[in-house]
Amino acid sequence: MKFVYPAGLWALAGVLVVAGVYLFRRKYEEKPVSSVYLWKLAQNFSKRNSPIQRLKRALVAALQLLSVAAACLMIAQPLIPVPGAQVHYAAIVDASASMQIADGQGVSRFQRALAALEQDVARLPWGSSVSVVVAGDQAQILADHLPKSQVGAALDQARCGLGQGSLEEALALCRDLVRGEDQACLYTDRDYAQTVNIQARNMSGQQEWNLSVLSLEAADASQGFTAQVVSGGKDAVVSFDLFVDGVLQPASMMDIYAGGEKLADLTVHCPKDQVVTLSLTARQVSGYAQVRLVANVEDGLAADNQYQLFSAPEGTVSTLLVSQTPFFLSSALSAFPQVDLQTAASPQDIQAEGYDLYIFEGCLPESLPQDGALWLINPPATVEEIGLVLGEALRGVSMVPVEGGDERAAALQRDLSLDRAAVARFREVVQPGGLTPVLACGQLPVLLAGNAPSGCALIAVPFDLQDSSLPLLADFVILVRNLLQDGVPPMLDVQDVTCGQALYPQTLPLCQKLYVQLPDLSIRVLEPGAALLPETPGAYTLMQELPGGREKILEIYAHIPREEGLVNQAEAAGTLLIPRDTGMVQQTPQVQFYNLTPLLAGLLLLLLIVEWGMYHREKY
Amino acid sequence: MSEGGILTGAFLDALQALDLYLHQPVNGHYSGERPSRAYGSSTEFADYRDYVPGDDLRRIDWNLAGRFDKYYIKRFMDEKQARNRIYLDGSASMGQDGKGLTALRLAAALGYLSVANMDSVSYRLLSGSGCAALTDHISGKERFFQGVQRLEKVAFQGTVDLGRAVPGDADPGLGDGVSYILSDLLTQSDWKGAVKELLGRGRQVAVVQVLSPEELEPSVRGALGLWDVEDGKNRLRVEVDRSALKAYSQAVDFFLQDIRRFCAAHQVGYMMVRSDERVEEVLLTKGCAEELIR
Repeated sequence: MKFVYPAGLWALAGVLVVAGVYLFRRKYEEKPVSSVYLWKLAQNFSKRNSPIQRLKRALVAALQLLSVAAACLMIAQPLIPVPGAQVHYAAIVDASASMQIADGQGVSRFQRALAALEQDVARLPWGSSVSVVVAGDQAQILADHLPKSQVGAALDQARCGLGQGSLEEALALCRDLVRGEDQACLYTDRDYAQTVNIQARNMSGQQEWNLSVLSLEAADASQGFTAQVVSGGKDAVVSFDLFVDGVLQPASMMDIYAGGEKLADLTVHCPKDQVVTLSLTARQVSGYAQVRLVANVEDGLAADNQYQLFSAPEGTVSTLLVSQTPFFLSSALSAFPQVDLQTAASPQDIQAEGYDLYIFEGCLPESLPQDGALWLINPPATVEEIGLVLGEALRGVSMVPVEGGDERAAALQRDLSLDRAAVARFREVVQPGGLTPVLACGQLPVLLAGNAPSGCALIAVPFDLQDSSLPLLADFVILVRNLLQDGVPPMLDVQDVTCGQALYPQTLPLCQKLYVQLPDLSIRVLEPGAALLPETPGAYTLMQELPGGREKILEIYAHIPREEGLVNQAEAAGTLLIPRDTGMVQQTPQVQFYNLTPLLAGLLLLLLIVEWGMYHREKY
Repeated sequence: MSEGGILTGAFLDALQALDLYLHQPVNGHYSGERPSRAYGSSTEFADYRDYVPGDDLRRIDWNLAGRFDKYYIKRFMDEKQARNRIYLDGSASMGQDGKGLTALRLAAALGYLSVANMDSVSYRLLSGSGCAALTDHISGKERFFQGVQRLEKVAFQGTVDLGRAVPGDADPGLGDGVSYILSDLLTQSDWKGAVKELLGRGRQVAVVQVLSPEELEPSVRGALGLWDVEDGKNRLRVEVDRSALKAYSQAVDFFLQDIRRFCAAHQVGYMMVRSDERVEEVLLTKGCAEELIR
């Protein structure tokens, strides 16, 4: 037994007071009577000295002492262990986007899951404890061995996300919460064929319907778009609207095909649970910045009723190519739509500033630009600014990747086969100036990578492209791609952004500050290395603030994960289980305690009633 | 007549119709109205005897003479005066809770009934082991009222040993009346022995017990240290609760029944009077029922 307020035991001194009163009180009141003769005679008839009468007198005193003791213990609030009856119940609540699908009465699966969890907790034995993990965009422990009576308040804090959910992370968290014979349950919206140490409850409802716009892509350069939609739960006839740069496109100005069938307008029959492909051509659109397809419905989940598309999702790379023979490079660069290429014959013909990428082929400016990546192709002389010293021309051989390089070198070598790549003539690199070889002819470098004094990426190629077979090979485009990603990395290396997906924007070395504009148009500053976690579907705009007032902007659309919009979730493959360490030591279950104070209060009341009854009966 | 004291006019008026009840003849020297074992000149026929020359001819029963042709003289009972004695317990307990006044009024009533019916009465005060005569034998109402004045001056104090005080009477009488003992009998003294001694002297004995309501049904409660007003050293500690009161009630019943059984077995008249009862009503009801009064 232990006590909430052990100091309350000092009140047991009251027992001594009661005992003292009984022992030392003046018991008899002096009273004269005409004669004690009859009183003495009455003693012969009295059973006062019988053992039962003595016991009755002692019983009243004992009841008073017990009452004082009970009151003292109530102050101390004793706790006794109740082993064995209680259990620990671990619950994982799926908080992915599909759990927000509501039924015909507006009750979402998530709400249904919380209600089911509360009911299951209420049925647990008294004294049980509950742990709850919410598998939203990030797994979160909502309750850690809470008494079952406190779980309701914890569940009020539960929130459902719009991402894919973090079930694996939640199961991993349960690994530390669940021991021995603890019960565990996953409240989700799909069935599991196999479960091991956790059961799964499907919270899908009966009257659920959701229309989901799964994707929107550009079919060609300007006018054509392809979208996929699905009506989950029932057949539906759905009307859509297409906005190009905010302007609603009239059906009369569009060519609309659904499943190969031409439609008069954007009212589409969607069979139950079948993906319908829409082909849309907006005849009056010659170019766009962003396109939005909206489904005009009231369904179980409104967050996936629209999709947005941006024309330049990867951002623009402004490039200056200074060369008298730009053919090879300009051809290769034209394969990349994000490249905005500007060419010049010589450095004197253009002011080299304000570009993301500078390519100097066969020439050098008076001073190297400081605000962008640099490619120095076949530099005519030693580049003293970077400490690169070139020597005499040498005969080349096959080009090979340099082995043992760092991650950057490996990235630059990615996907290169270099089967027939050779360099006929190249200049010896006497001093690399801090640049690292990436490609070589034999042991001599023919492509080096490093950083300019400004911190921007620097590539040096000490041969003339016309003296190499490389520009004629497919590897050249791949190499240019790798060089572009190295020199002007995209802010995001993912094409498809879903809600709940952690994004780590890459910034240019000269980036002064990175901002993100959220779908609600609020602006937040992102610290370097910090993650961007889209919580709601919509357009997110990333902006890098660069020197000279320049900006690099990337617009992305975060959407509900494709499978989360489907009403009928497929049965999960694999086995649902909470990972356990092998050889894990079984820990003893926590012992719960029962507070005896209410019981003592009832006992005290009973003692007082009995004592009063005995006293009253004896006196009257 | 004493007005406002132990006797009032109304009290005396109520006693007019009453008389003491004597169930045995009186042997006395003084003429009265009580039947006597001796032959006398009353009008109550007693017996016949043979005629002896010189007898009064008016006493010859001529009916018998005609029948038996012989002369018989009628003999009549003699009527004597009963000489009643009233023993009054003068202990302190008798002075509690109105018992003293009741006892004095009973004594006065019994005395008045005696003198009103041509008997005499004398009062004795019992105190300690002794018996003091409050009055001589009183006959006649005038002398009676004078004697009552002495009753009114009685102070109840101290203790009394009934077993020794009653027999200590210098003139207890011999078959010539009724001896009334007025006491609460709350004593361990041998009052029964005293009664027997009086009976042995041919006296008709009547015990009139006076008790207070508090003595019959105590109202006290709690843990009490009781001490006797007669003897302060006589103390008793009791816890008066429900069971104690029940035992006390049983003790009272036993006490009274013991007295009644003794009195019934010895043809002793007995009447228990509560100090809160009216004496004239008691005499009319209990007194007649117990054949002390008629």
